[in-house]
Amino acid sequence: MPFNVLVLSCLAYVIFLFSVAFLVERRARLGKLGWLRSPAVYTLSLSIYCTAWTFYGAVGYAARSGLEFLTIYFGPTLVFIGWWWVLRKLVRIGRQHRVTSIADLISSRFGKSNLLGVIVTVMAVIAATPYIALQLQSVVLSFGVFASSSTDGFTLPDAEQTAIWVAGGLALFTILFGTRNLDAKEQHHGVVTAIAVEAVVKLIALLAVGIFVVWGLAGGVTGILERIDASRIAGWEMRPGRWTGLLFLSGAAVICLPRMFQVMVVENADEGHLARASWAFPAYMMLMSLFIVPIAVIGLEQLPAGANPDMFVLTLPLSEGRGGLAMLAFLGGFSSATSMVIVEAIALATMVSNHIVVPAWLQLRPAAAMSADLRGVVLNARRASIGAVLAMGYGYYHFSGGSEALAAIGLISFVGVAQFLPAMIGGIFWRGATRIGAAVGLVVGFLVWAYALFLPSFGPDAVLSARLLAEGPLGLGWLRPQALFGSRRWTR
Amino acid sequence: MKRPKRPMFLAPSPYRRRRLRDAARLLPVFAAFLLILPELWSPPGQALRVTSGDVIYFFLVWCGLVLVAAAFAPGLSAGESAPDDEED
Repeated sequence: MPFNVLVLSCLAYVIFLFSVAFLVERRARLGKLGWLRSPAVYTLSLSIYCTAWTFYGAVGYAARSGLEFLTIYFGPTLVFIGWWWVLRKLVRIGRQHRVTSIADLISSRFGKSNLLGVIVTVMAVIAATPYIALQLQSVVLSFGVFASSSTDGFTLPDAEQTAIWVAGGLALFTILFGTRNLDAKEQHHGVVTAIAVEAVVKLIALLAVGIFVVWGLAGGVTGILERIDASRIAGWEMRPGRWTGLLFLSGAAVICLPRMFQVMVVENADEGHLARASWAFPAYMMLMSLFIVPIAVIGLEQLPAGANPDMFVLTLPLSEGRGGLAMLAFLGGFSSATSMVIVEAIALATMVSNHIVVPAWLQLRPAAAMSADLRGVVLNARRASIGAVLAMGYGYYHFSGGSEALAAIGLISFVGVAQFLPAMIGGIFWRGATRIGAAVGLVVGFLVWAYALFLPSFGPDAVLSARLLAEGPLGLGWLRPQALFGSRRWTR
Repeated sequence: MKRPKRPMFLAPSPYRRRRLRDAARLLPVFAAFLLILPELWSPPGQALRVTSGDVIYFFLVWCGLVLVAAAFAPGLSAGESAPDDEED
């Protein structure tokens, strides 16, 4: 498939999404949203939990570690079917207090402490960088797949350059989408509807590839079950520590991820929608995961040994000469990456402008608080933050080399945002929780995360020296970043 | 500490609503048990698992959880605004 066709179809798709968002915004202004504020749209918008990590990375994860990829969806399933415990309170508090972001929630639960708001914002922005890099990497990889397989030979300009173009395009798109106007409740009806459309596209794409693999290549359900047991993941090892830990981690992440908070709490139009989503969202994740194992198994069986399992969703249809199906899969992957980046950037930009830029601005120019309209300042701050967030994502991609497995990158982000959980749960359920306690907990969690996961992820001698990674600081083995307090056994 | 008194006997409909809430609270606990249970099936390090069996088990459990949650959801959200027995 020629490169131009690929780029053109991406552009056409983005323009289509943009017009969806535009039309919805217009209807919203006329007050005629109707079914666009239905539980179905709410549930579909929650599916930005399933990013390129799910679309491409889950197959790679399954090919490498068997069924362990399921934990990433089981955690949120537990949280959602148990919505009566936590999510219900979260959404209610969010609506009553007009909470605009997770930083706003944590700061307002501790007496509107802006210190906490700033800490959470900074942590969220840094924790999001690997996740955004993951999306960039997946789009670059998927372009690369088409480049190498095409007979009419286009060579990919260069992975680095593609990543820059993708990041720039997404930044532009997000700015156009998310900062057209200011809403006191920080709701973006247009974006939410566009995401719901993307959710449908990625589900259909993944199901189409899965159905093709099971009934087209493996000979039906019995055929695929036999092949699963004959494949390399047949003797997969379930490591209890990792299994339970990942279950808990993904459950924590689904509440704490800034973009999940945005769609789940901030964009929520009606508390009743949560009841529907409590089973419909787990059902969506189940459908997304249904064909992951078959695709991984058949990919391992039929594709050459060196093929990147993260790209099986694309390379399997291509190797069978199904260009149309591969194109659909490509758009599905593109949808999953773009929807995540758009909402994440909007959520982070809201936090940066509300908790860092505006307070700083008012401190510097006290007069502005009395007179001028802050609208321009806020919008420009958001545009700049969106650009900065994507630039940091690109930076992470650049420095980490873009070679790691997708799932491994995503988990780093998960652990980063999971540090919010104690402060958030404490703030909601514990009257004795204090501001200082929350701040100390967040900062300590952040430092341990940075030392043990984030900084080592750049590789030896990038930020932390190879010697420190191997022997620990001052030769203290029990302080080695990747085996902190002797935790070696449970990693990897 | 004294707990605020709650009526011991209730009319049928608030009674059912309360039981439904209790069931909804217990559902994730049972679900977690079912999802962690396979850890006990084979000792770690011994590759004796039948992967296709694991796949079938997990997806059946998943479907079951979705169905049970779907059965609970309407009753829970309908009774949410009922004033009679707010909060645990």
